[in-house]
Amino acid sequence: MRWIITAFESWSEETKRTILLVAIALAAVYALVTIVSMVKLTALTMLLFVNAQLLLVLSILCYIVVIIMTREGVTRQHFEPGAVIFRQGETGNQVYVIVSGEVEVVQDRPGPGDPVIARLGPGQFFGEMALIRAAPRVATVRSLTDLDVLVMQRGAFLSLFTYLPALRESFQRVVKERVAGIRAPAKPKG
Amino acid sequence: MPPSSIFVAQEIKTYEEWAREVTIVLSILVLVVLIAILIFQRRRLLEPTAKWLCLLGIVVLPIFIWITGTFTVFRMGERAEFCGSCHPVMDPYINDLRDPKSQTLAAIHGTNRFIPEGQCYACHVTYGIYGTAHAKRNGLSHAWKYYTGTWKLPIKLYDPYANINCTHCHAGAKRFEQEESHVALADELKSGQTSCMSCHTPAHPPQPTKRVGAGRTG
Repeated sequence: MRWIITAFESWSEETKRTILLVAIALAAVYALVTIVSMVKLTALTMLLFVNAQLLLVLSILCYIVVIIMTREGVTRQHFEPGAVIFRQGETGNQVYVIVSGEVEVVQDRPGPGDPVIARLGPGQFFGEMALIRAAPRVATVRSLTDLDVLVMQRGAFLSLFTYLPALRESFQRVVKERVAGIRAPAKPKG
Repeated sequence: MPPSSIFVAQEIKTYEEWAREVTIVLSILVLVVLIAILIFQRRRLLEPTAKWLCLLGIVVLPIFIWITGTFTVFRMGERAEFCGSCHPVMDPYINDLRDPKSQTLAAIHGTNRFIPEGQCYACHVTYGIYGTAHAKRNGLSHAWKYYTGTWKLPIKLYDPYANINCTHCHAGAKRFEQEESHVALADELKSGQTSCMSCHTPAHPPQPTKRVGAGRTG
């Protein structure tokens, strides 16, 4: 069971959103079929209604999968070397704290220069900027080695952020430094 | 409720009619909730507000729709009008059922409202815990055959007509119990050795032997 949940969690935000959109579409079709069946109940519409139950089941399953994938709290997750943890431009709902391993932070920006803007190791965190600034991910993060991280969901992170001023200040300081780093012009490679 | 009686002041809604209206309202509500999610929460689908709305629109309301809709379909599906929706096959039977001049068993039971509602179902579903389940399963297969045009004439009963379908209502009734021929044949009627249809015919008008009309009639 655990490996299924872990597999779900490693899906990107876009994938999760797409699954939820599929669930919405299936539920909408189910509602439409039901309306048609109820307005004019014939053998055909009864067949449609009975078979539409499959849509309902699929829709609820999709929803449950998304809920499992985006549940609140802190979980531990493992990534293989080279795995993309999240991509630039995606909506972010998690903060990652590195337990072991290393990641590189890569940013697509115009002009020449090294797209790798940082390398992070054990004890460091990433993914906080999208949550604090309520903006899309500003960079792509990729694992360089076997990577173990603690994944903190938005709700849990914002609770800590709100109720622990010292932690908040620490996060804000890091964000400030990182924003300054991102805004600095890229140095040409070599 | 008879469809056109001069003695009835107002129509009284049945449970299935209420269930049908509730199902339609709930389905519309689901569409409203889902459209609202797509309009106002599309960019924040994974955030708590959108997830709660999705819980409502994808899980809670549709489960209620499933309950009320299934009840409606099951109850409405027991009505003669529903059986009559397979027109080319059932029209002769439904027309006869409503014909005040007809002397068939079905017409006598139908026009006199001896069976007020669900006339087909009342006489053609084996009673007992599995009767309804079998009827629904067979009904689905009938609908499939009808819409794929794979039905054949003459239509036949799956099994010889069981006396329990008659005695379920008539047994215990004074006129039925005191009828000499019934008393004389009591054991045979009970065991099914003699069918009620041996004396009480015709149940329906003669069956058409070939398909008429167009489209799904094949």
